[in-house]
Amino acid sequence: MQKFVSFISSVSRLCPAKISVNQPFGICGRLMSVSSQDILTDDHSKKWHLFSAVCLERLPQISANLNEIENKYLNFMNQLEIENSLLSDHELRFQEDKKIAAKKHDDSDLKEETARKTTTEIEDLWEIEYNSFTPAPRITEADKSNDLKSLERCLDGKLILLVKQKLGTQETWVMPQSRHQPGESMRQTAERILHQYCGEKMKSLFLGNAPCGYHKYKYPRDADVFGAKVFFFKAFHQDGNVSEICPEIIDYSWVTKKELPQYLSPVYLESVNKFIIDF
Amino acid sequence: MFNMAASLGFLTKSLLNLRLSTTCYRWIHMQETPLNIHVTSALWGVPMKKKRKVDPQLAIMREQKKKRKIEKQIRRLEKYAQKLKPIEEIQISNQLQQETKLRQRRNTVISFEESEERVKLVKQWSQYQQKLFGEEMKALALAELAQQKALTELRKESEELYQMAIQMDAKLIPFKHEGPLYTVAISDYKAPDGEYNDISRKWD
Repeated sequence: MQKFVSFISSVSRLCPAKISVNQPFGICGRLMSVSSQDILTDDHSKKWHLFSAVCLERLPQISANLNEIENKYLNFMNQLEIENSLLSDHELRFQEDKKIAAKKHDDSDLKEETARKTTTEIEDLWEIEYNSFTPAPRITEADKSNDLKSLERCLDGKLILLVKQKLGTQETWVMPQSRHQPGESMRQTAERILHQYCGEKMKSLFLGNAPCGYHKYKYPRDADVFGAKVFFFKAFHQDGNVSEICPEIIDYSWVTKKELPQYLSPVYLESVNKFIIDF
Repeated sequence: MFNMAASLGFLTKSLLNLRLSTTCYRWIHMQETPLNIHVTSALWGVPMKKKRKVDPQLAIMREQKKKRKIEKQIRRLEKYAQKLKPIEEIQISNQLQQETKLRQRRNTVISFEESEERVKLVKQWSQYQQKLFGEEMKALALAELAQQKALTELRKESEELYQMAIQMDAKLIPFKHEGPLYTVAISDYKAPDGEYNDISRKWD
């Protein structure tokens, strides 16, 4: 990460530092070799490389925990609801129970057992039935072991897929990205990336043909190309995890929006944060 | 003379053989001499039945009865046509209406401090909600701006790609999403067996 930051600053025109890099940044794996066709050679106005990236989100699976004020207000609303309500059948029954008990207490001769169940008995039965079922836990095994590769983690928040990709010579955490190829639209590039990087099992839903965000970075000065323009496409994760890791990807993890700064460079994070909405 | 005798003989023969002749509807003779005596189907004629006389008043009464019956049916149909299907969820049953007094809850008296606390909480809540709303709007505006920026940048690079990007995505609609729930569904959970009794009434 530190390296990446220093690199970004070194690229700015004010800084004379020069880094010699064999491969221009942003060209990954399969597209390592840069043919003369890719770069529209014009010495006076250098071109940009176009990239598509996928912002793959796993939507929250469970409702978020209530914070303090939400909890307080919920309790208040429940209290109001009870105060404004009429007595229910169950409560009437409870009152009847009390009367019967009082009567029994008065004349001790009337102590024969009746078939009638008291409300407390009924409630006990209900409780047993309720306790016999255990719902799925809200904090999963993946949370406990902090398994960043699992989709089961942080069920109450949004997860975003990040991959460690080789951009130029550096290994950087980014959203899966790849170079645009002639003949396909930017969205088709994005779909291809996901298919290629994450395997067949991953199913997702792309949100429209338009990119949702944009980020650009520059290559070293001696490169033939200015730099890369990355267009982000948003997609919702539907089914399946990253099944087979292809050689372009060194590592992957599912992170929440809050965890993004641990992985991404500040400049990249700024571009990306604009379109990731998570409450 | 012989001829005459012969024809007479034939006649007697045919008369005697009446049973035979009845099977024929018509007697077609093959004789050269004309015969004037015929046995025709007019024998089967039956005298006409006497027409029953109906009392005209009775007939009128009968007709009226029929009319009244139909009218009654129409009235019954109209009566039920106005009756709408009851919506049980929003109708209070008679029993409940009678029991409203019995079901009154004895209201607990709220102290002054408590009521003040409540007012404060409602105000806090509205402020909190306003803050959330503001943040949401801000985030949405930011996202919209980011997209606009992306599109303009794309247009600078290639008009063709831009045109492809602003096309509508027909596959996206209808969009369906479930959740979030309080807990996720347990995978391979077998629900206990039970009988499903549909007790909803039918209204035709």
